[in-house]
Amino acid sequence: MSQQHDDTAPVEHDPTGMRALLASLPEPEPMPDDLVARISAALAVEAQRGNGIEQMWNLHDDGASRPGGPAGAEAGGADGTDERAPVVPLRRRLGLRHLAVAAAVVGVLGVGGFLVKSLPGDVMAAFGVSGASSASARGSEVAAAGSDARALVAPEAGSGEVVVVMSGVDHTSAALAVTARELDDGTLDPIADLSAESPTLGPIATPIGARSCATALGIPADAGILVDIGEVDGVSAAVLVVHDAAGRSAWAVDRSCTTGNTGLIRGPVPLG
Amino acid sequence: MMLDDLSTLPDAELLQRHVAGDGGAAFGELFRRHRDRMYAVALRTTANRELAADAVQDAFISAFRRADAFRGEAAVTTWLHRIVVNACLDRLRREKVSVRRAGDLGELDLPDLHDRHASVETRLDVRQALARLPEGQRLALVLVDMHGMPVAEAAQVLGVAEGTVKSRCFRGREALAAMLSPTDDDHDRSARDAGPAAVPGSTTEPRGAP
Repeated sequence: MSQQHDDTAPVEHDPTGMRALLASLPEPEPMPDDLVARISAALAVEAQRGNGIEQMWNLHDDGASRPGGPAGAEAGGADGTDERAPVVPLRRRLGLRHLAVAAAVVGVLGVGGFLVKSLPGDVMAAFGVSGASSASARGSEVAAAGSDARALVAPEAGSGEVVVVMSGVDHTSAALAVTARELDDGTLDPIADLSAESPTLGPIATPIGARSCATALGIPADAGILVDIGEVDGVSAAVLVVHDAAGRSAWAVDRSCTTGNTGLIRGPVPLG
Repeated sequence: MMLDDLSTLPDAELLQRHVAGDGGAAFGELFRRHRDRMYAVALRTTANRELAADAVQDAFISAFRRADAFRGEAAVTTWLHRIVVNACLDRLRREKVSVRRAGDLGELDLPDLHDRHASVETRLDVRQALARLPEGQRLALVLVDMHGMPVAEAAQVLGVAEGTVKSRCFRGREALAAMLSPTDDDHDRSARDAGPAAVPGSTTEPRGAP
C-alpha cells in the first residue's frame, strides 16, 4: 500500500485513516497508584539528599547559602570554592538513616507505599504522598514506622489475626529463634505494617496470602501470626511468628509459600 | 509557599523554584501535574507496562536532577516529553540487549511481519502494530496522532526537523495500514468459511496457481 503524500501536505492529511484510528484509541489509564508512590518516594529521597547537602554547605560557609537544589547537589563543589568532603553532622544521622532505608527499599524492593512513611513528613508532603492522591490514601492504610506499628505486633493466639511487617532484620535459619523472638517482643525498630500486596513482595505480603501459607504449613486458622517480609540466610524470604494454643513458634519460608508449596526453610522453631 | 499556592504557578516558575532549591515542593507539583500524561506517553512508546513504569521513573528522577539544564527555550512540558521519550528509548534498547543475550524474545517477540497463518483479528492489534514500527515512526505517531502534539513541538521533543516528523507520520501511518489490512489469505479464509455457494468459482486454490 502506498499513499500519495509529501512533506508539504499538512500532517492532518490522512488518506489511510490511521491518524483517525490512533486518535480514537482510548487514553491509557492514569499513572497507577503504586507507581505514583514509588516515584514520589524516589523523588523524596532525591529531595532529602539535596536538602542534606545544602544544609551541610551552610555549615561550612558560616551560614551563607549556596546554590541549593538538585543541580547544586550534583555539582558538589564544582564551583571550586569548597572541595572538602561533606561531613555529616551528628544530628542528621537519623535523617540519613531514613534515607538509607528508603533508598534500599526503592532500589531493591520498589515498595514506595512502605518507604514513603519512613521519610520525614515535610519531604513527603512536597510530593503529595500524604495528601490528596489515591496513592497516599493507600499509604495511609500502612501504619507508620515506629510506635504506632508496635500495637499491631504480636497478634494473640486465638485471634486469627495476621499482621504483615517489614522489619529489615536479616534473619538466619540458625538464629531464627533469637531474631523471631526479638521481632515478636517488639524490641526491633522500626517496624512497618504492610497491608497492601506488592508484586515484588509476593502474595505472602498480604494477610490473605500469609494465611494461605500458614494453612499450608498446618498452622491452625485461629492462630495469630506476625509475618516479617525480609531475608533469611541472605535470600528473600518471610518469617512467621505464630501464636497458637501450643505456644509461640517461628517458621522461615520462601516468599512464594502458598497452598501446595510451602517453600519451608526452617520451622517450626519453639520460641517459648 | 504552601502547596496549594504552587498549583497556581506556571511550570517554568515551578522549575525555577526547584533549581533554586526549595526542597522538592515545586517539583512535586510538576510531577503531580504531568505524571499521567508522561506515563501515557511512556506506555504507548514502550507498549510494556513495566518498561513504561521504569522509564517514567527514570525520567522524573533525571528531570529532578538536571533541572538546571532547562534553558527556557521550550515549554517545560516539551522538555519533560523529551526526557521521557529518551528514557523510554534507553529502556527499550537495554531490554532488547538483555533479551538478545537471553536468547529469548519474551514479551518483545512480536509476530512475523509476513505471518499468514493467523487471522487478521488475532494477528495484530493496533498496539502491536505500533510496537513493530521503526522507532522514529512510532514516536512520531505517538506524539502527533495519539497525543495531539503539534508537529513543531514533536520536532523539538524528538530533536529532528518538522519535515522529518511529518514524513515519519505519513510513513508510519502507511506501514500501520499495511499491517492492519486483511491479507489475501484472510479473504480466502472468509470465503471458505462462507462456503462455495457464497463464492462462485471457489477461491480455495492457491494464488498464482495455473
